[in-house]
Amino acid sequence: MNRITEARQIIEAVKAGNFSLRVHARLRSAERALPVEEIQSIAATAVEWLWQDDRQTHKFLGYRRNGRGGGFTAVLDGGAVIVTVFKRSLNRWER
Amino acid sequence: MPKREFQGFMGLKYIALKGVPYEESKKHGQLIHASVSKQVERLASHAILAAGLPIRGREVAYYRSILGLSLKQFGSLLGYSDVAILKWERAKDKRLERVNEIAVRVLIAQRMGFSLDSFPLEVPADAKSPKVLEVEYRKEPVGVAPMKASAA
Repeated sequence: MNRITEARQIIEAVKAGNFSLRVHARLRSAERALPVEEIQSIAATAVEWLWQDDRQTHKFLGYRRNGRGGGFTAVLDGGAVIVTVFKRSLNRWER
Repeated sequence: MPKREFQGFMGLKYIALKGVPYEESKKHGQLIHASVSKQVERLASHAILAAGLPIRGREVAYYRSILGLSLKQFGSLLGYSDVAILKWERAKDKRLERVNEIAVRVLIAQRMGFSLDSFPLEVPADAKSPKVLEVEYRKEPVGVAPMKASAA
C-alpha cells in the first residue's frame, strides 16, 4: 500500500472513530493533550499531510473545533493508531 | 482486556482514573481505543461536578479544553469577554464567584448532555478541591438523571 493510500485510510478511520491512542498521546500534559473530538476535527479538516521518514509516521495538520490549529501523527495498523497529538498555529499558507 | 490506572488527567492532577481498559501492542505499546478515551473524558468531567468540587481556574481551563471552545466562544456562552475567561483560567486555584460557578456548571451540563439532576448545582462555600478524586471506568452512559422510586 502506498503512503498516500495509507494516509487516506488513516483519515477515514479517525473520522469514523476507529482509532487508538498510544498511552503517551493520551497522557500528554494539559497544554498539549487533545480530546478525542479534537483529533477527529483535525482529521476532518486536514490541510496538510506529510510522511515522516525518520519516525515512520504520517503527520496531519488541521483545524481544532475552536478554529485554531492542531495535529497528530499516526500509523496504520488495522484501524489508525495515533502516536502523538499537538496544538500549533497554522501558518497562512497552510490555511 | 487488561486495565490500568492513570494519575492526573488533562491538567487536573487529583483525578485518578481506575480500571481503564487498554490493549497491549508489540509494535506500539499500550493503546487506548478512542471510544474508551471519550468515555474517560465524560466520566472525569461528570465526576468533578457530581463530587461537588469547587470550580476554579484549573477546572475552567479543563472544561474549555474538553468542550473545544476558544476563550471567546466560552465567554460568549456565559456573557463574558475572552479576557474575563483568561483571567479566570490564569488564577488557577481561585474559585469562581458563586453565580459564575453555577453558570459554568449549567453550561457544562448542557454541552455535555448531563442531566441537571445528576449533580449538585450549588456547592457549599467551604468545599475544597480534593487531593484525589477516584474515577472508576464504566461503559454505561454518564450523567443520566437518577432513577426515581415509583409509588406502589
